[in-house]
Amino acid sequence: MKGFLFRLSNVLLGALVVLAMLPVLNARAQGAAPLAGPTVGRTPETVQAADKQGKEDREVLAALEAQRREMNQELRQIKRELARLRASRDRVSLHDVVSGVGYIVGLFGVAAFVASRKNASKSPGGTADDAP
Amino acid sequence: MHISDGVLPTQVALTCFALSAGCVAVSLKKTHSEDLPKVAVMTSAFFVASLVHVPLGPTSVHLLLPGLVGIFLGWSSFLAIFLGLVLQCLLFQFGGLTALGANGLMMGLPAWLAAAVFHGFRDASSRTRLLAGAVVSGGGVVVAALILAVLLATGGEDFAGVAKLALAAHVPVVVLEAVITGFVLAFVDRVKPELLGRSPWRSEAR
Repeated sequence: MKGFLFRLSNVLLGALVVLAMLPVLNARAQGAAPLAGPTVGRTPETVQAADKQGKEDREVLAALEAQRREMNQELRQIKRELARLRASRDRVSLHDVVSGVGYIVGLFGVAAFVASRKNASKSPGGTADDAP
Repeated sequence: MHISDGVLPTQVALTCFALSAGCVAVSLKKTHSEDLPKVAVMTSAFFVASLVHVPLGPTSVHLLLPGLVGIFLGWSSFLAIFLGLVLQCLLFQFGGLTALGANGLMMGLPAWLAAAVFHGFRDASSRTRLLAGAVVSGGGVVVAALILAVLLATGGEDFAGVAKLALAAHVPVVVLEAVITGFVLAFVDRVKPELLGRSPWRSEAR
């Protein structure tokens, strides 16, 4: 509503109002623009140029606003993703369980293998490798 | 019931490591090669049991199973539990690496105690044995909670307070473990009774 009124007043009051706003917009858009009085050089050319300048400034502002909104949305998305990731990190996954059981079985398998070799070499017949 | 990193004073943690290493060595020495598959299965069971959470108000506690492991493995139970704890620590971030010795003692000693007590009932009737197994299994959790309180007391905590808290938090676990052990023993008794009859607790006499 505010934006609409703002635009409406611009349309109604025309170039004069735009000219009055020019220094402010200029300063905002270009930073170090010299602050000229509102009554400087009101020739039709300057009024036209100011109108054009004001339009450009508004376009830039609108684009910035749109970009900000887009960024905000993306940031929220990333934050959600991060929270989800953090929650999943605390939970134990099936992957961990299976790998742990695999470790256990593997370790005991190696132990059993070593033990069986030891037993075989101790037995009177010797290991299969020793057989002639 | 896992002690985290930095909770225990350094000397206590180191002492626990030394004691645990000794217990693991004893356990390893008394483990017979033909029992290895059984030890592996019980280690896996212990390792995975910690994922069975019992919701309790705002928090939750999980199964510990020192009693069941002790009953089945006897001397080998300490080895099984220590290995399970190492893997839980590395894969699930349960307890700290520096507190591994303390955690091993906390779970392993109740297992040995359970094995010793259950050994006294090995020749009893299957019903008595089942009951004894359930009680011993529940008792294992209680002993673990008491060891936890003793260990934390060395770090300056109030023994009675911690013991009360740990026991209160693990009442559902005690009940659940007793029931689970009862079921497991009943099942094993029917399917493969020699798994219990040849008690590994006296394995060196074989």
